[in-house]
Amino acid sequence: MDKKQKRFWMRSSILLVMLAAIGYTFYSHFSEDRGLVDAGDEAPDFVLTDLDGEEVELSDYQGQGVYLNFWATYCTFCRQKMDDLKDHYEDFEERGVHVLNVNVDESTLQVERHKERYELPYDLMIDRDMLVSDAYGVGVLPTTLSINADGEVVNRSVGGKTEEQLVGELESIVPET
Amino acid sequence: MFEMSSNMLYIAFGLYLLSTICFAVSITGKKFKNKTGEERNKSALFGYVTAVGAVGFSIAYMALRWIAVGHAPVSNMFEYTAALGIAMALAFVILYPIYKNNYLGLFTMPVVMLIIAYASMFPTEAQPLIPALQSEWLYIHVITTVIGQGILAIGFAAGLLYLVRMVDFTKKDKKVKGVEFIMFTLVATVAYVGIVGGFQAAGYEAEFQYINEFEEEATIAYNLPPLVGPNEGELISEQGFDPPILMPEFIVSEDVNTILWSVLGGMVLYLLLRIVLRRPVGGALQPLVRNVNPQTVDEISYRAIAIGFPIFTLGGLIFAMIWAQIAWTRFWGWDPKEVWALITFLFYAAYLHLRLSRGWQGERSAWLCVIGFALIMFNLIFVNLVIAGLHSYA
Amino acid sequence: MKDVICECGHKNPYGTYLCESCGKPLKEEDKKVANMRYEGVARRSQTYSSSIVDKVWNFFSSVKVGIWIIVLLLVSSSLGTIFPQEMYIPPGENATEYYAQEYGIAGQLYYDLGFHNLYSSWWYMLLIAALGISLVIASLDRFVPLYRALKKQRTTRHAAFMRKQRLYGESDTDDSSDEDFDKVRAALKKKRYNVREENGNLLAEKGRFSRWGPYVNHVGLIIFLIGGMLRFFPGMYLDEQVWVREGEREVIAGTGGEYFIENHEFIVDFYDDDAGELFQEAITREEAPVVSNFQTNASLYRQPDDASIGGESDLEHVEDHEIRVNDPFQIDSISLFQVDFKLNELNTFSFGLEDEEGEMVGDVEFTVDLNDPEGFYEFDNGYTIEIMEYFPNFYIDDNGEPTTLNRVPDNPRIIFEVFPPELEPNEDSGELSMVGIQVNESLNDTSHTIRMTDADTIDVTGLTIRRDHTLPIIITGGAIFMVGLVQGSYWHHRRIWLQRKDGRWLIAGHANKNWHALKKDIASVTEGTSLPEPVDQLDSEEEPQKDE
Repeated sequence: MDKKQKRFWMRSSILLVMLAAIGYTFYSHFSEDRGLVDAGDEAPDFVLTDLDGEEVELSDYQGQGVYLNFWATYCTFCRQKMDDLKDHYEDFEERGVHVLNVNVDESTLQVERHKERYELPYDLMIDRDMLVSDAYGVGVLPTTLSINADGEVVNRSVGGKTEEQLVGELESIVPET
Repeated sequence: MFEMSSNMLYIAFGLYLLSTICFAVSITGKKFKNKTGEERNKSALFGYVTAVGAVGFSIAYMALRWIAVGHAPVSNMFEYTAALGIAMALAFVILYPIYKNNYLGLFTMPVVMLIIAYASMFPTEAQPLIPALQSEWLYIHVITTVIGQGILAIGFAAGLLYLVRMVDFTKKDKKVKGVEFIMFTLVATVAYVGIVGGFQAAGYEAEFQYINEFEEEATIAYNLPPLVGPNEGELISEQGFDPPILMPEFIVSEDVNTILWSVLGGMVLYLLLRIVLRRPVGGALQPLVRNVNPQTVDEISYRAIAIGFPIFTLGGLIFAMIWAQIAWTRFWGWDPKEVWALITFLFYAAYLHLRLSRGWQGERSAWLCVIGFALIMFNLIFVNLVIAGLHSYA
Repeated sequence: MKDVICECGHKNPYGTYLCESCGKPLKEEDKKVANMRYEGVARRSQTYSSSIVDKVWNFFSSVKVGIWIIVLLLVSSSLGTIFPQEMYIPPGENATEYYAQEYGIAGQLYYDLGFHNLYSSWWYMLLIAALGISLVIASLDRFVPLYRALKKQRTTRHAAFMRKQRLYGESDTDDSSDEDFDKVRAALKKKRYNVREENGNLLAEKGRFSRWGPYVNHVGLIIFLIGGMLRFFPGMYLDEQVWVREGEREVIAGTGGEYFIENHEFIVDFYDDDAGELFQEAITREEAPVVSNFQTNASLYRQPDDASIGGESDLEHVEDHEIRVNDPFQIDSISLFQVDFKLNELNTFSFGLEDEEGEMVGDVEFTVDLNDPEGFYEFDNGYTIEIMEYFPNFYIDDNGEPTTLNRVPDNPRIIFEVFPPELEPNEDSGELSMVGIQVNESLNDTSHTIRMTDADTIDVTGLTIRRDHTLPIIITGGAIFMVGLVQGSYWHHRRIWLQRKDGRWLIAGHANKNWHALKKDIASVTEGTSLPEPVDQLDSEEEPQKDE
């Protein structure tokens, strides 16, 4: 290799390394807030108790889809979403998708009254100390993670969604038979 | 103890004045050499010795005040600004033996006096420390910074000396206007100190009732006669008079009033000087500094910056970051004061690069030294008093 | 692009001003003093610019460009301080309205231009990135040739090189020249100069290592910037806030549920009369009392390793600490800082029941924990009170429905359903009333009134949880930067050349800064010899005539 060529490769590689580093920094800074757990990641296991005092563990649903929905009574989009879920959850339950609604550390009374007031037919869980929420990097509500039969997160959705989108998300994690 | 420390500062101030006079005499006074060619005009030596004495008393002031209030006396506007003046004097005392340049003394000492006098316009009583300031980093960070700035300020004095020596005052160009503007600023500061100090000593107070920016009734006290009044202001004290102009509610009228007094006072003083001297103030000083070797002054200013810059960086950025990490949980948070310290750093970095790589020496370099000092003063005064931020303690 | 061969036989790269070996000027310049910047070597960038890569490289290699980047950074940084950045506007304010409201049209413009988040804007970050690239390339481009030149410099320099130095003197030699030469050499050595000799010529050098100062500090800066860049990489940086009520325990976010913090007590102290006479004047000048201390007495707990997230298990006590401003709680790589507090947050309400006649119903006294209320309160005399709805931070939403803003009991409202003994809670509907602070409305026919008898408050501490894995890198970079800065600023590279050529002394001196010291050195070593006193050629250049 002559001197000139050597110099070309030398300079190109130094520039490329710097460009890549800067590019990545810009990407991670300006791309939408990435959650701690995002599409493609394995869903961390957790244990929660529902209002009846029964323990629910994520790994219990190995081989089935889990629609993990973080919510609060004061979150309007959550209310909308949970209202839409009323019509679909049974259908998907039969097809192997479980809906887990996880409240972010509100008082038991509030959650109970909320369930009565909005006539929510499904189980509600409370994430005391927000341990699960923190593990999943939940900031904005509602945040929903669609977990497939292999325990892998296929989608992380934040904010209000239409009923069609909701159904679409549920469909995506129906286990293949 | 507290009172004693204040007395130390008074004595130091007197000595700074004496030192200025000695240096002036050493330059204007007759040269009398004895037969062996030895200089017999000892006033330069007296000037230096008094400067050393003044710095000694200044340090005694700081030490006593430190003991009296229980923390380093660099925690509010008065203390910091006074410390800046002292640091500049200290830097001079260290640099003088190297270059033995009396002109530098003539230019440095008055600036030191002006800074200390300006400092004493702020409340001088002892203040307790808020929790964020209760740390040994207070004195590590601030004292290092102030020493760095003091040395950089010598760069300003030398730069100004260079300009007064080299600018052609027979012309009426931008350079002359620039030097005259610096002179005006200095004169206006003198006017500010004189006017505010005078009315303070006389115990002047005019009180107004006015409508503030939240549309509530409030009162405001002026310590200077009101040239401009607050929004819908009505005089409620015996002293004072109805001002000719009232300010809108979103302007702090008292500050405007003070600035107006200083500018007007500065203008009057400056015009008087022009009338008496019959030429630009810088031009009047020029004959005094005829014998200055520009190369030497240029080198002094450059060395001052080369010495001061690392110290300023250490105190104003590195130590600042360490403390910010401890007290404010992050080492950098884009607080205005932090940003302006960064700007000062960048400015002097640009200066060094321009000088080393692009050959900006002599006059251009001198202008940069002046601008750098302006940045330091801007960060001290404007950022603290006008742009609110985490550093606004005074 | 050929190499240039000097008459001394040394091969110099294209673009060299002064021969690397003997210093002979290779290009004609009419200046009196040679440009000694980078020893007159060829900066690599200036040499070729054939491909795009070379052009980009040369752009960033230029000091001029570097200075422009610094100036641009300086100016744009100052723009960000005109109005406060978004993170410094009062909490709860909406930036979209705040700037226009507070600062009028200028504020709106400031917001529209994105200056409210200037320091994280793409263009500001791009400027910093450009500065980083420029630092790398410009340093590389200069360091290598400078190193070569200083390594290869010869003791005997060309006469033209000598003559073009800023400090230069020449005179005839006399009989004592050998003696003088030895004298000077000894004096130079005494001054700790590094002396080299060749054919009766001499080069004395001192402080060469200061020439590396700029490169060392640039390396430090680059490391510092890399540290800053790493913050954007996942897992490097944690910034969370946690609010802990007195007597309660909260998980420390970001530790995966491993650590918990308990707030035993939150303390605010003020400077009062006890602070002594000294501060009295300052304290009375302030309108509000001056705080002397914020402190949280905290304990740290740790979850045993085997527990899974959310699972209940006993926590182990790890350590106690009094968290103060300037004194954070450090655990592993995590620090907890005292940053905020809330005094007197509502904690419990106590109630009694009043009948139609306004008499208190005996035994019906109960306390509602506003952070974890119970649903039913049953009493021995047959009364039952149920909480139908609880809103910790009550407001009416857009649909006109009562709801809560969040879970903090700042404005609690409770809807009670009172069942006197004659009613059956499971079948009948009871008397409804809504109670809050200074609110007591009955919502249907009520014969009883719920009376608040007491309200209890609690202090809450606000802590920042911080983990910053970039700190070691930042510290390393900062330290190296400082070392380089000191190395380059407080030491000076000085060289003195002494030659005897054709019966004449030639003496020349060069310093990268602090000429004053070099002049003094030369004056002192030549004292008492026949050597000429060098003159500063710049002095005569700028001022041809000076009448004294």
